[in-house]
Amino acid sequence: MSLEVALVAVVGLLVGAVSGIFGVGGGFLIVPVLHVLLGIPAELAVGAGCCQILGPATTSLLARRIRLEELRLPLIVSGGLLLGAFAGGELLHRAQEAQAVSLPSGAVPLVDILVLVVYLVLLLSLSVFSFWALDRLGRSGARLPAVLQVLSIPPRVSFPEYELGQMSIPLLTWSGMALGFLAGLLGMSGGLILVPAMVYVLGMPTQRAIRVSLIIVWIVALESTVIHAWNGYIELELVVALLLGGTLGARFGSELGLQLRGRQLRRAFGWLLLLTAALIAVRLGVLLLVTG
Amino acid sequence: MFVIQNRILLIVACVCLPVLWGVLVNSLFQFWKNRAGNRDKDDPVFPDYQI
Repeated sequence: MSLEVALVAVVGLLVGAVSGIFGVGGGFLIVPVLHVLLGIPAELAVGAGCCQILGPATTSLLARRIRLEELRLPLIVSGGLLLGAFAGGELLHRAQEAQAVSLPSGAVPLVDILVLVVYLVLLLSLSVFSFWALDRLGRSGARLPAVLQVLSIPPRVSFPEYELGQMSIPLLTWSGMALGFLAGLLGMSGGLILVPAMVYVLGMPTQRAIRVSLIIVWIVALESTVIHAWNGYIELELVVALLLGGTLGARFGSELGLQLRGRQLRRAFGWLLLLTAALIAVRLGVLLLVTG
Repeated sequence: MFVIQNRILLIVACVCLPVLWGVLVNSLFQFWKNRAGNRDKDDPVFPDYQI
């Protein structure tokens, strides 16, 4: 077990470095790497992933000195976050308790296949969006249609503090529900989806989007942690190893990231998403095709 | 009853541990910053999210 914990700390270091370079949470990397490369059961990787996010998210929140009025939008969204996180956690729990699936490689737990397939679809979609946004939106500074502002399902609310027009409260909470669901199921914080969504879809200024995202990430990580701890999917020694390694790695990564230009970073980030998706695809391919 | 108590204790530990770690890391960075004497008056921009 101690060798496994040491390896997890190394994974934490590397993921922390990548997080520091690209300025993302890194939760989307932790679960695939822990599960695919180290062979940690998917549900434990998910539990460790969402629990460790609370550490860096707390540091970032404290460092940015969040003001009380900035909590309005995240708290509205959090109405859906809790339900979504609960549903995602419950699905993970049921998949973990379900019978293993018979594949050419042998009996594979359903939860492993579920987590890998959803991660694969999500990472592929995000990498395609990342390259598309880089080419189409990056040059002109254009935005996507602001869906949440166009659809007018009442009641609506405006957020002058974020330079946003009238937005539908039900759509905001439903978006939160979807995000919470992914967090509960996959152990990722959602920052990976939140920041581009708020910048490109809502048209929010980047720095404000980051502040809102951090608050939402903290709330969703807290809720998912409680749910996964209740289900017994969190091993504290894995979390400690990830926290220790991740903090050191993020420090080095941040310094390296500052030396790269924004456009270089965004392109490399697209490739990172694609590479992670490829890792998962190879693992799924082995499970489906290779005879055990 | 014992099982529920254990679960609640685990939840408290899982929530408190990373949060305390986050507070500790922030305090250490604040301490180093103050010691170096380059405390910014403006709201600093941290390079934790750049994408």
